[in-house]
Amino acid sequence: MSGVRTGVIAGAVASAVVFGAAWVVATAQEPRAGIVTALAGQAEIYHASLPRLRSARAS
Amino acid sequence: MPRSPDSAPLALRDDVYVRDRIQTHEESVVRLLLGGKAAVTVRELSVLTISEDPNQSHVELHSGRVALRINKALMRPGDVVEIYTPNAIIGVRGSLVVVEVEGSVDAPQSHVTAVEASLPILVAPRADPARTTALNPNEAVTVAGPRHAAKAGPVRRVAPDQARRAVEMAALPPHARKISEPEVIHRERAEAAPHVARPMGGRRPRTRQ
Repeated sequence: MSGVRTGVIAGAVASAVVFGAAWVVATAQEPRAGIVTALAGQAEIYHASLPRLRSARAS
Repeated sequence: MPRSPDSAPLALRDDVYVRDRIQTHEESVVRLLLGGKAAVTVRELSVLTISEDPNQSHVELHSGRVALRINKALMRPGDVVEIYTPNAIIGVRGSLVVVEVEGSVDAPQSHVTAVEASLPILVAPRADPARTTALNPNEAVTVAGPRHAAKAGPVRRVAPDQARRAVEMAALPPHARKISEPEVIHRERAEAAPHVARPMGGRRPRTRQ
């Protein structure tokens, strides 16, 4: 029984570690590079991190 | 201009992050302050990506035109800001330079004009970064050809009207909304000081979609 219980605990810990690592990778963001100081008209920004953030939120 | 599902309208005071891509519409101009020392003015119908190496920042200009002004007083020895075009690399250490990319994907042309240059601006084909051409103020060069076979042409003197157009390219239209760059620089330097606690420095707020 003791061995089974140890195995269950080890499995749970391993699952938590894997889930945590996946979450960190999924939500990691790029370093800040600068700021928009002037704008005339319209422009679009494609955030490199955004798809990962959305994917992490959706899961 | 079609909008990608992962893009959002750019706004004044937005933070930009490494690997972000910016695309301007017709009759639109954006200015970014990168690292508190490089002001990049992105003209209409341009596409660029922000990048960063451990010791230097660079932008990739895929198409369109940008003007890059470096605040030399804030550059440390060895600092360089680079502009990558489809076929050229432009290294800038304390200057105002205008870069324009035109032509087809197979045969791009990168026009580089040095408006000011306290240190020479170095231009090289991407396929041969060691083969640099040094530009001094009021000089220009064109790198032509596909990335693997691009070559820099001869250095040209810039005519007065061309120089005026280049300076205008770095200027903002009168109706542009703007914030004070010196204030931003002052704040960022204060935040970078070791005695000031920084709130999880420089990560994007999660609210932005």
